[in-house]
Amino acid sequence: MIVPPRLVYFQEAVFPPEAKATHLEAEVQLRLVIGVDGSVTKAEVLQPAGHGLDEAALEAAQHFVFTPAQRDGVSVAAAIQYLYRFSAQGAQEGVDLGTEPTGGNLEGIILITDVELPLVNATVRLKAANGTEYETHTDDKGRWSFTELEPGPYHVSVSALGYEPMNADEEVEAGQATAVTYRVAPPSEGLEIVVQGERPPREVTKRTLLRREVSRVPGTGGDALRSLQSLPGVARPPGLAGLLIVRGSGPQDTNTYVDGVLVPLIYHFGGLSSVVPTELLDRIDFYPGNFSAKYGRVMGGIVDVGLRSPDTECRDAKGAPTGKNNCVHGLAQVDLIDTRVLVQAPLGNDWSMAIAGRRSWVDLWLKPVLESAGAGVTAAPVYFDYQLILERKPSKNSKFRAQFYGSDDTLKIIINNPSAQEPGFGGQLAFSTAFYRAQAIYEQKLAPKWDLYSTLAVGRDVVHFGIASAEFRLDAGGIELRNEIGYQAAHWLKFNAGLDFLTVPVFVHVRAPEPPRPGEPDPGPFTSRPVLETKDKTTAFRPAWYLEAEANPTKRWSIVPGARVDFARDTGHASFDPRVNTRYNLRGGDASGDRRTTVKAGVGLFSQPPQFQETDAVFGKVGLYSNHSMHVSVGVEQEISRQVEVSLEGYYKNLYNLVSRAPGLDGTFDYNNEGSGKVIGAETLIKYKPDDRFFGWIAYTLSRSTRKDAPNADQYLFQFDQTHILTALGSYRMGHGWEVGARFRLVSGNTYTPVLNGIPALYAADAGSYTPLQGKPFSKRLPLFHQLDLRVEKNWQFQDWRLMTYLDVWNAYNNAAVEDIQYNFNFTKSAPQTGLPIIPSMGVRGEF
Amino acid sequence: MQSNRVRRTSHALGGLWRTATAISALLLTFACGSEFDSISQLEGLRVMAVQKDHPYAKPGEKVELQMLYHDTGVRKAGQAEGPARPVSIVWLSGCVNPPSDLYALCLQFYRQAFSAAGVDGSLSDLNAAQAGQLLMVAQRLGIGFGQGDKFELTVPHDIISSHPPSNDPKQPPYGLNYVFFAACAGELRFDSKGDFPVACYDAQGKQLGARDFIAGYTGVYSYESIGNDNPVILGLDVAGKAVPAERLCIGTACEPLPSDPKRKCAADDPVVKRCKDPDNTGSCAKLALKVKVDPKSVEPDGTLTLRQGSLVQEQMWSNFHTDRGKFTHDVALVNDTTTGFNKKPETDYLAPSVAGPAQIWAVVRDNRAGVQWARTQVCVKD
Repeated sequence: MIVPPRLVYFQEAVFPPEAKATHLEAEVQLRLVIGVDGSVTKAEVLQPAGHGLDEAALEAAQHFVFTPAQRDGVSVAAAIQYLYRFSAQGAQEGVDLGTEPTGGNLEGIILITDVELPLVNATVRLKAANGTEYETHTDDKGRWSFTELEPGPYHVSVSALGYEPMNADEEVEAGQATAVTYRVAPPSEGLEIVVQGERPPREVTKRTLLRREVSRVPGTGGDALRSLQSLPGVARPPGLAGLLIVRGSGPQDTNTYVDGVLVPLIYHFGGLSSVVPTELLDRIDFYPGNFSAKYGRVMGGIVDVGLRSPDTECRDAKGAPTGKNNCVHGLAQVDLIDTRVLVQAPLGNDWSMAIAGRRSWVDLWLKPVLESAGAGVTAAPVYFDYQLILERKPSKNSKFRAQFYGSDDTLKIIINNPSAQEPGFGGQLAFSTAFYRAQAIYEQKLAPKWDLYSTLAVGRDVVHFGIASAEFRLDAGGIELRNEIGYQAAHWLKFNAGLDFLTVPVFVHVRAPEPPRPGEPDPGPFTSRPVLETKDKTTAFRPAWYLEAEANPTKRWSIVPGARVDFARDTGHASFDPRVNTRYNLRGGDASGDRRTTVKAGVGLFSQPPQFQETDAVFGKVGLYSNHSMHVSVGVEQEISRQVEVSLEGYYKNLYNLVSRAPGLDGTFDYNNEGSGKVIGAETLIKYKPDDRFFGWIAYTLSRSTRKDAPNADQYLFQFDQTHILTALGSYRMGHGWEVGARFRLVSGNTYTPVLNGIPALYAADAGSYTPLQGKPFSKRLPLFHQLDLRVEKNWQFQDWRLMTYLDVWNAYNNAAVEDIQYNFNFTKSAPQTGLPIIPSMGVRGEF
Repeated sequence: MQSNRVRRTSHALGGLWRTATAISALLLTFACGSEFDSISQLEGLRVMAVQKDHPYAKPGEKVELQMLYHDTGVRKAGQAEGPARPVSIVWLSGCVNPPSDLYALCLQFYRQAFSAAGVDGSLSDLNAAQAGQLLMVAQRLGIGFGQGDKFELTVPHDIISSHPPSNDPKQPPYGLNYVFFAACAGELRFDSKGDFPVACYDAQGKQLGARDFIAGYTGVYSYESIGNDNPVILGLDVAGKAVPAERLCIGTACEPLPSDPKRKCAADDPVVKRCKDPDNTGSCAKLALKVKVDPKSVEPDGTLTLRQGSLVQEQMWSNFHTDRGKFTHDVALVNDTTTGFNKKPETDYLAPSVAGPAQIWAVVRDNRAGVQWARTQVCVKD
């Protein structure tokens, strides 16, 4: 029961002399907020009268005294509207127009992450700035509410048995109801990594993998980025090669970003481990096709890795948050490949930091191996990477982050006994790759309907490969700028406009014989051919602009139309790529509890500038323009149960204007834009979402990818075409800190170009080796690949820290998978070349 | 560990970074495979080198080519060498500046030429009319034709001017004259339908394979002002001792050595015990083998030196061959463009299981078509 405030002391206003002289009569409507002690804490004019009367009324009202309002016998703040009257007789006591709602409401719904089902009987606690606490529980629809709250900031915490605790800060305003939706996740050691597979852009759809999953996929050594290769639509690269082959596109057709900034590689030494450790990842957004207009310059897929905010939250011995946010956390891990450390700490004044580093010790065991093979090792293969993050959150509406990260791989050996096939490739072999990025990110909610995301990065990429007289050196320093402004035009419509500028001064030095291309006759050993050389210094300026609308015409239907304009100054060509994605929930997807059924579709154009070497005046051809493709995809997602979801998607890619190299009438090979290709496929994912015991999925992709180098040329299978890709994996928590997992893969063999049988290879006398006559490019396929990987993990939880050790067994039943065909010196004998045998890998990690 | 495997990695990966990472992946990826006989182990007929007296020839210059080959014959079990067989050799030149410098495009040129001449049969069976027609067609098309282990060609005067200019403005203008050859331990026949225009048959008319037939090519590059000399071999060290001059032949002094089942060891041959367990080569006796190359014969790489404006030396290495036994390494580095001269271009000779003399060749090459060779004999004893 609420008792309104009552005026007990009236302060007469000073009638302005000019108004009094004219015998002016008027009314000023005021809004007064009355505190729990009955005093007026705030006064404002709702309806002015002018002539100095408004100021006089406000001044007087500040001195009014009321009996405080009461709710259930307890004094509470209240607001009233008050009409202050001025008459010819002077200022008069006004009229109380009634009590306004003094407090605000805070209400919401709590859903389980990913499954989007209501979380029942969760505890919701509210803590006001003055320390007052409230508590309630969610109902069977996951709903909760607090009414008549004092206006001001509140800290909300949600807890439920078997789920991650969740915390948020909200602002309650008088007379207003704030509605929020929270999502909580099953336990995941505090971090969540979101992998958005085939995400129709702008949250139209998403698949979520928790950190628990990506850090425990068997066969990856706990490396989150390597787990991408287990997702549907991603082909298996040869051996450990860290190539992302997405939906029948080449590795060069998929770009990798860190917080929206392009990075040149994501794996050390082509696949050993990723350049950003899993522990620093906040999310992985993976778009295998039909991605947002936010991204461009590639025709395949997008991987956008987000670095996490420094974790300074304090937790008790059971891992539950204590509410404080000033704790230091650290981690150290050692395995057979590398060792890494991570420290996260608060810095004060809203600042926090994370610093991490990793160094391999492959050199310790690979150096003796190389030396026993006759190589003199000058610099053993070694890699390291580093990350520094400084973050400030001055308010819930803005965030600033500065981060510096990079990677370095180096190998230098002396080959005193070169290969007989390429005997000229002896002596010093030097290989190194390095990059760094210094990046600033600023996010700001400019106004209730406007938000801004901006990032600026400067960096440098260096890659060097040299052996004998062959040399390849790339030195690229770049500036990358992304700005995006979002405008909420209506509750169902939001516009996002952005620019994506890339400026890269590039120095390339290549000295090598001209490399052969698919379909071209084997030019013989490199040794015997004259070298070409280019030293190209240029600046690739590639600006892009995009506009996208996120529309939800109905509760069930969302559609995201957009378009992107790209320009490449280095080629002098521009492209216009319209795209649209849509989703429709046939049922479910809300608090109704129904199993969700969603259909989705997308179509769009995608453009990719030629590679630098293709437009080089020496090794390529000037005047080439962008490759193009059209992506079409149609799919359906169906929830089978609370834990199980099935998705099925068909896709088709029409590739055209591909840069290719086809023979002309005189037999010479020259670059042109006459290549084309087609990719058609279907992929399905049957996923058991993580609960407190188990997670796993079965991914299957059926696809065919072909290319043609010219309109009249023969069509051939794409180099990385894999007809069937089946991955099944799961991990089970056994209790007492034990967890076991397995991954099984069954994949069509890679294609290869056969050597013509029955025809002797030619003896290239100048090199002293043989050159085979080759058949049709990629016309043969290696045998079916299958492999089982296992993982066992044991955790120990101590008072202040946790210890974890794992054993990851690659190729558990030691299958001799065929990765290539090897030949004897004159190509008269061949035998399968098998991949890596069984490899156990161990690691130990301590964290606090 | 000696690798006798050959992988073909001709497919091009698109992006520069992807290429670099793929290279590193290849260094780390493949681990297991079959072991084949190595290129250094001669069995049957083999060509080991073709030397040009002018590896880089000027327009209008005559170039003499000399083939180094050896035939072990067909050995019976326990036999060091088989009976000698006649070896036929044929040379074809005239494929000048093929499109994109691709040797493979020459083969079609020869097939069409022979087909036009109506030549499709044994070289020895050519009647006078066919031979005349062949010569006429060959002359019209500029095809040179020769037999025996030596061949001579004259570089066309317009070989440089008729070569399309390179995309690389710093590339010194050059011309390229391909010379094809075939060596056959049987009868050579023209074959206008096959992938190579010449095939090899035995007396029964059965086509012979790679053990008895070698087809190959060499390129004769021509620059206006850049020359190249063949490497200079000073000698061989076997088991740490210099091979006496009388037990060593170098270059053209090495006459073809027909196989001979009755050949005996010489008294002053270096001796190595035969290997009783060839499956366990680690237990086999070894002879250290080192090729001594005159460092002064390592020349500046003219094309690279012109580009760089500073001295860049050529790459040089030595292939080793033997008619019996094997080597720990088939190839040894002699000079590296980056790190310079290797003072120890060496390998170990591993003895075979059968006693008797064994021939050893060291074939030193540079990366500009220069080549020189030396041969000696060691004795494998019980």
